[in-house]
Amino acid sequence: MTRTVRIDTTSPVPHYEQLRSQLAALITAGTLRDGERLPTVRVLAHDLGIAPGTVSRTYRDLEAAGLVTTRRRVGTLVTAPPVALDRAAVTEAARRFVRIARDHGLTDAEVRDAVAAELVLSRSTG
Amino acid sequence: MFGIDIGGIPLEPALFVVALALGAGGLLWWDGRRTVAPTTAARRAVRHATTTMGVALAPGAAGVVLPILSFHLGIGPHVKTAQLVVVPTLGLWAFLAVYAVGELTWPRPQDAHRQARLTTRTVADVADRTARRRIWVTASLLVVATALLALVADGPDSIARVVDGVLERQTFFPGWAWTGPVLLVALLALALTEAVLHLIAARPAVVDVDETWDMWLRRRGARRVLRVVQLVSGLTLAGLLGVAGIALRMLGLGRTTMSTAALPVVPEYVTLGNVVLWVGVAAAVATTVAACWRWRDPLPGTASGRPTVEARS
Repeated sequence: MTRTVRIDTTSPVPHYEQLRSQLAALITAGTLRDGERLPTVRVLAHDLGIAPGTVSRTYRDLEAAGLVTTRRRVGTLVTAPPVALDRAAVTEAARRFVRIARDHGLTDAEVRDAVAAELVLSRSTG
Repeated sequence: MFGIDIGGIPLEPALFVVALALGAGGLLWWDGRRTVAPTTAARRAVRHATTTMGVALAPGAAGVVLPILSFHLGIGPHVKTAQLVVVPTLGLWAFLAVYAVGELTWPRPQDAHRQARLTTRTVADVADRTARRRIWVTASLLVVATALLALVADGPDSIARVVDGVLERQTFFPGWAWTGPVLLVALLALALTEAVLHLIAARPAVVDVDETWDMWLRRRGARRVLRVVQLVSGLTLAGLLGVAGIALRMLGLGRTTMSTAALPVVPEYVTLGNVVLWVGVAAAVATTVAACWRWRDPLPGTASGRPTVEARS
């Protein structure tokens, strides 16, 4: 997995959410390791041509999810989730699911819709 | 104020502006020829960086040239020498301010699909550690020199000697009236330099080029800023020492501003003056060498397969 993030300004998904989901995926997959420093809010905002407040909100959301921690003078550090068998199994299942979806010619948006639909269904049945 | 007018336009400033415009144009042309830009965005970035440098150099050069024109040739506005010595550093302020504007207006990504690398960039990544350390050493020497000169001075801008119970004073000396403002503007210039280096590290990455090329362009910008800061701060230090050395020498030779008759020579003052003068000359040479030092920082090879060239800036 590459250590880059992408923003699609034409997508209806808010910029902060696009950024959050990619960073969360990179951290969960282990591409960004525990203790690794993320770019500063200003640097990432400049590189992506978006407002610093957007990146700031992303980092806040990631911090709330326990994926990063922000320290004064140090910056934003990755706090990798503890490696557990169940999480590894879920990650592997997600990887398989995405591969199958790609084989069937689904777009990224359709893959996300499929997951969202399953989440809604599991809530209503569970 | 100025000497010759042509059609109501003073000749010297007009010549200076023309020379600056020609210099900036030449710099743009020369930089465009020697820098291999792998993409259109990279070419635009190089042009922006060079234009910023060309425009920023104008007030910087004016800050160095104007005091020389005013003091030695009597051209331009006539101000006190104590005010004149801060002009180069004020020119440096203007240089840094223009450079900061150039960094703040750096081309931002405009495409619908944008991407960013998850790498941290700090000032240490873009600014050469040795060059930065040299500037801090120069600043420290400036602090020490200005403090010593202010201490040995007899007044705000004079130095005195007492021989056979007679007080003689030389009133062209960098006392606290000179060194105080110089130190203040120099320290502020250092703070501005650090701010500009931060801006260089944080500015948007050039799109469509790899990270090494982007970092190379940042390092080149930081290097240019550090060269100019080194030159101005070092020459300011050298100038103060030079003037102090001449004043001490004159005082030792008995050629003081108050004297009407021949005064006895005091060899100790003459020797001390010579030493200070030569330290000033050595400081000027050392700072010029440090500022003009050619750093080996090869331009990364391009994706198009063009050969790697040696970049010197």
